[in-house]
Amino acid sequence: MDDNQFMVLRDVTKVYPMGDTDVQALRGVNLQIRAGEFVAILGPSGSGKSTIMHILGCLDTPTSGTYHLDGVGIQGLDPNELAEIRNSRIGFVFQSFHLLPRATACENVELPLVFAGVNAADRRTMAERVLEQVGLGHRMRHLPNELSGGERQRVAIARSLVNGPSILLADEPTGNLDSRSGAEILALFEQLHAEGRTVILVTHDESIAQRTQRVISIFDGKIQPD
Amino acid sequence: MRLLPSLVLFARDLRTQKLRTFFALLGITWGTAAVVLLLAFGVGLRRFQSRRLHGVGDGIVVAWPLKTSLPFEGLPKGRPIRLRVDDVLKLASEIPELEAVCPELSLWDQPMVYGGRNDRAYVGGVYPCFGNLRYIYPQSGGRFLNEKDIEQRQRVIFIGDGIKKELFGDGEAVGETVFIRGTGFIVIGVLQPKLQSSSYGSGPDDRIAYIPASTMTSVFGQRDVNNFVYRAKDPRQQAFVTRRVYQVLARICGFDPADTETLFLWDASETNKFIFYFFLGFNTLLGLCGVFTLLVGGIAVANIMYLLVGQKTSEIGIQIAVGAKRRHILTQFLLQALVLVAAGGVAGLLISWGLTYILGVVPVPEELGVPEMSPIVCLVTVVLLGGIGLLAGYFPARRAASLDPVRSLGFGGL
Repeated sequence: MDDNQFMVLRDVTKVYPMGDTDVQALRGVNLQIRAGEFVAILGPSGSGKSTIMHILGCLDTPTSGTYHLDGVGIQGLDPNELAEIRNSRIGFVFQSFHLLPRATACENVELPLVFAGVNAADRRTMAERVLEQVGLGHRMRHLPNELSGGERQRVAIARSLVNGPSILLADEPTGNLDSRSGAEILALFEQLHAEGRTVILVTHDESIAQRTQRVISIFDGKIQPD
Repeated sequence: MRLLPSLVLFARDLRTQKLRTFFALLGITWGTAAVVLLLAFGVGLRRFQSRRLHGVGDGIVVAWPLKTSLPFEGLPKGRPIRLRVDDVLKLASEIPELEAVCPELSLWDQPMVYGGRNDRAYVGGVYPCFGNLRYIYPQSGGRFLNEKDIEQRQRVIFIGDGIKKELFGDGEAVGETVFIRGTGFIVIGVLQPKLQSSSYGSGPDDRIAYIPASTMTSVFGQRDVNNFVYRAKDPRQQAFVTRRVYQVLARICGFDPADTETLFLWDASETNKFIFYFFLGFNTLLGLCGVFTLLVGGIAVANIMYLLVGQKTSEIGIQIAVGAKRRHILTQFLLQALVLVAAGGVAGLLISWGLTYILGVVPVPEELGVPEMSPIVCLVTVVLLGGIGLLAGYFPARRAASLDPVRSLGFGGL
């Protein structure tokens, strides 16, 4: 195994029980991603691309096979240890933003810091700094329903960045945005990659995938050869 | 600090459930008031009844000499026991475990005259220790009998407040002379009015007069003890002391110490025990009525918490995704339920406090006593509220904390 490999999936399968039948979401996935890469995981709906993202992001664990993140085997960890990894090393961005509806932009961005045990004053300062970084310095006290789709996704990106994670995972981040906002969000991801983060975009849109350095195609739970 | 944002967001969540929140708070408030008021009422009633019961004296035994029921040393059964004052006084020197023992000579229905007024009452011939045994305390300006009265066979009398009213009205009694069958007695004290639910033979204490036992013997020729009253130093030794009383008297009067028919005993501490258990049961029942009301409020709170957990599934999913641990989610919902219960509880306590205050001021039948928010009642209520808050919060919180983040974020497994 190459020592440079940062995220390594080996023979990973994922089975979801669905009533009487089992759904095979992943069927033996092998994948290596180096630190600082800008990667797209491309596949149609139901191909298993979201499942790969959940496993890479430690939200879910493989049914069989192994996942090593920075040399650490994820499969042996308990939910609290996984929560710590998600909190400190991984930022998530979702297609439907997933902001707390009754919390302001700033309070949404503070959320990961709450679980990291940061005190209130520091939380506020850190959240405001990140919101300014994503260009929302003037919208910090607004509730999500007072913001446009593009602005909401910026809030979500700010939330994913606030703990200073080295990995960003985005699941169809432009799926609910108009083309102009989508382009701005993609530009933001390019910038975040340029600053040294590992950025992984999950998408079904080939044109978005082409903006990244490396496209991993997935179909029916298996990685297609590059 | 870390919990504050969760509470701010909780308040905003509750705004979406105004009606349910209102009814849950109402339930807890109502339940708290029910627990506090019912217990306060029970405590007040118990205090009143217990004061009345203790009016006759606390932990005392009253003994009347009767007849033998067993033959003894050639003497047949059925002999009456005759006790003299000295026999009873001997008990005090022979039984160190006794706190005090006092013989009582009795004259019933004696005419008492003062000026133009007269009355008829029981007169007891007793010793000074009788006062403490039977809770006979003088009003200010007076006193009970003392040793000098006994030694010098003083013609002094201590009268119940009922007799005083009859003979003197609102006038001063101490220092005046009351005549009994032609003999004058100087009034040395008047009984402090007291609550009394039990008495023996001679009637309630406000209708009794006391003179020195020695005076009763010298003036009226009364020698036989009608009864004697005693109390053990340690209430737990009451039974032992009573056994010793039989042994000593058996030796003096000549009867079988195993012959318990020789004395009729009235043990006030037995009544004490009864009243203790009666009110323990009574107050537990009242408390349970309140607790069930409170439980209904607790269920309303749990209902809201379940509703919020259901509504906020995806929000809980986000929190888990950005690094919330199980305990973060658990404490968040537990705390929210506790805050809700505490809010209702504080309102309920304030209402109860207001009501007990009003009930303490307005006239109510004396037998009910005065409702009292004693510290123990408040403590019981706060503990109950805490328990109900934890229960109402725990199950919804556990459901929230065990959510699968992937599913709760709406990925449905794929």
